[in-house]
Amino acid sequence: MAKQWREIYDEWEKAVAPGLQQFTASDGFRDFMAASAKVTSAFTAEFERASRRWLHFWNLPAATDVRKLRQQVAAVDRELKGLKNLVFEVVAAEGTDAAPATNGQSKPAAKKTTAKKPAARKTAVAVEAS
Amino acid sequence: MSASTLIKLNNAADANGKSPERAAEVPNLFGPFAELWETGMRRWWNLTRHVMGIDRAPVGQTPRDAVWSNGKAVLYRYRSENPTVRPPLLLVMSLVSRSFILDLQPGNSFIERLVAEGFDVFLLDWGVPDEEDANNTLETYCDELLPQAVAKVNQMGGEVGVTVFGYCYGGLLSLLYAAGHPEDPIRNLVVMATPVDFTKMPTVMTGVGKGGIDPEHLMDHTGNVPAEAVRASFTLLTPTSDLSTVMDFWEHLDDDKFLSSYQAMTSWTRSHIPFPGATMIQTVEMFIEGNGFVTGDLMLGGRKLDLGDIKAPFLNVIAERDHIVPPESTFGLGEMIGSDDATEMRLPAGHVGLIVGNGARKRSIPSMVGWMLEHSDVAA
Repeated sequence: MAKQWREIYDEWEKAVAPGLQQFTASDGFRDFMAASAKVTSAFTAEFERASRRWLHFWNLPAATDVRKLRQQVAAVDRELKGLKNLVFEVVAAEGTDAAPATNGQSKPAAKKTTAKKPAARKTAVAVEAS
Repeated sequence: MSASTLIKLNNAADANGKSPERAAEVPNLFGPFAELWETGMRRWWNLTRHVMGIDRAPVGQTPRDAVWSNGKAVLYRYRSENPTVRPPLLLVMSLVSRSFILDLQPGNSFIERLVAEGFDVFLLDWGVPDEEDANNTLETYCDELLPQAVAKVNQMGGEVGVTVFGYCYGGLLSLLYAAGHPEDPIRNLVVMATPVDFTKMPTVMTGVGKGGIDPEHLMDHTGNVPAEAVRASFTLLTPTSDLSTVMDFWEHLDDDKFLSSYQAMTSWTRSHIPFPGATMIQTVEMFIEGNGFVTGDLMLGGRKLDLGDIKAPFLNVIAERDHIVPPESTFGLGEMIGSDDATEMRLPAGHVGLIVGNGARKRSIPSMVGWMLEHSDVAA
């Protein structure tokens, strides 16, 4: 008795799920989602524009200003890290004989290994369910 | 204190201070009711602690140390007394989900198993992007972060190369990286549940782009595709799955072990992460619209990539019951890459079932581990 509700649900699910999946995978649903995303996006953009104008009128920064600033900081940060890595690489390359580089971000050359190399092959393996 | 413990204590108290064994000898006139009572109490207690967030099942318990980071990307190394397998193994996570799925719970953890098998395991976690990461492109991941992480792993692993292991979108990133950096020390390349032929992907996943949803319209104020949209796209694949999960929860509410697994699993399925906006646009152009892997039209950092440049031993793990990345969308990858040693391994599992659950423990993980051991040096 306890599991009767579950059986009823499973039956319902079995009947309904394929139809729902077909619906969410349909072109009509995709078009609806596209239109809905477009409207939501347009509405948000318009609201942002209006609130930004209002805040700028009072000489206050809007969320979009903060966002732009954070993106710029991130870009500068990334550039700085890139330069740092470059410096490490140059230093490591120049000082190879004197002292080996210790920074992990410099790119070491691929080391040849003596591992056994399996014979050339293209294979397909299928593991059966037990 | 669990409900069952409470009941045992009450039983002991009823026996007026006598031992629990003595109490058990007393004829139980309320037998069937006692059982119902106990089950009811346990369900009530489990429901309470689930709703209140008390005693939540912990995830990602395998001990690890952060050994490198750049921006939000963090490289973790899992602690191991004596790794016997070389080269080290670098796990590359997807961009849309949290990495603890690879280390779900003790006894049900892919990483725990790999460490136990003797692998020196590293995990590259991309972190949770915000507006600072909205401009991250595929180049950010494949030309900057992955090469740096691989170099670090190679250095820490004794410079014997690295086995790169990408899961889902992490596999796609690994393929682009490997094709774009053939000189890097990639000893083996493994990709698991990785989308290749995007024309065979579910419509819900590929409904973005020409004739569908404009990717720009999906982005929120941070410039990223919000986590809710990512989660919605997965939910729409199987619209009744959330309801079925609730039904499972209600059915097994008196089972402590089930509740623990349920909490661990749902904490993953309900905590997707935002997708960086610029990467989304590139993914749509290069893969959803261009089907780059199949057409060979792959561009990264202004240069053309060729999967034929991947010469390392290669394993493509395909989940036969995968509803997110259907098997037909991953077939044939072995033929596209340039390695002479390429294997396509089909496993009877779902997208997550490859690494989580009994099937993973018994079949999927041993099969993958077997291939990796065969292509590694194992110390006696």
